[in-house]
Amino acid sequence: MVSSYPCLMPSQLAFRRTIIHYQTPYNLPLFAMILLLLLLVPTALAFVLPYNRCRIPTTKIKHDSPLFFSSTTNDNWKSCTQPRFDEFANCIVGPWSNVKDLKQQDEVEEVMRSCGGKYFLSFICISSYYIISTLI
Amino acid sequence: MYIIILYYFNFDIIYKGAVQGIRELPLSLISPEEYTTTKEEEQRMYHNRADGGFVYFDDGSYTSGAEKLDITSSNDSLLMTSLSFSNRHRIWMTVNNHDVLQALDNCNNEEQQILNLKMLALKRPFSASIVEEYTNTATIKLSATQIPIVNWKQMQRVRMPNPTQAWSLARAKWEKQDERKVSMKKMKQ
Repeated sequence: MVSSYPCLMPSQLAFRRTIIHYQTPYNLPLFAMILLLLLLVPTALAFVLPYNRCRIPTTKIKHDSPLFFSSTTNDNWKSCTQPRFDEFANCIVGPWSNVKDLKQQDEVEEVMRSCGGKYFLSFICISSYYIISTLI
Repeated sequence: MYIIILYYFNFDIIYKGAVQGIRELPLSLISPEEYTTTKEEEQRMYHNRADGGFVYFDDGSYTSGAEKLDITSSNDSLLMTSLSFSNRHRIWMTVNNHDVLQALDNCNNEEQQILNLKMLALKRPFSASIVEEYTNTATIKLSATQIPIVNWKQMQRVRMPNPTQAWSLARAKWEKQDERKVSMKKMKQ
């Protein structure tokens, strides 16, 4: 043992022995491998497991129906006001004739359908009764 | 307070009038072989503004049809559209839902011709009040049998703010694309 380290003093030899002694249980490559595995395995599992079982948050949105305008780019769209029915009606209501046969002529009509109007009178009667009764 | 709120709603309904709509030209004009021409029995389509399948535009163009196109159903209802042009012309088109679905089924991201499409070119008739204005505008020649080449100047789309929401035109979000960008794209094509 001494012959293998001819230049070292006994104290230095003892130090050398302790280094060798402590290096043996700490197998650095093995330790690094375990650490790497500990880091990699959860990351790999996060990709393999379904997104609702893994802890990594996800922003996936599932669409059940096809999207309109899926072929157009999503940029350069600016909000605008929705078309007005009055404007639309002004342009389409009125007489129209066939380009090929001008005698074929007819009219697009505007139709108004009342919405709740028939109940208005009965509503006035009932509500005025309540108002008068509370005032009296 | 409750009564006052109810009053407000009733007055609001009366003030706004009612649910509006239009009654289109008789279907016998566009498809005389399928529909009767007698005045008593003539069939017209009524487009109600409260109907979710009816989408209209400021220039008088519109499209009307089912809110959902179901390929499994044997629904033979009409899909109707009208394209308005600046010189008092419009093109009125109708097609059966079944034919549209068949075309959609056959197309693989390619243009697909829709069979049995009925088309009619219409124009405003001359009248004393509009004759001067009419003669000043440049007219386009429309053939009753050919679909004209349309130069789209602006793209406009309508969709629900959230894709999961059910379709409602009153709550839909309208968006338009820059006119310049559309023409550049057109030129590239």
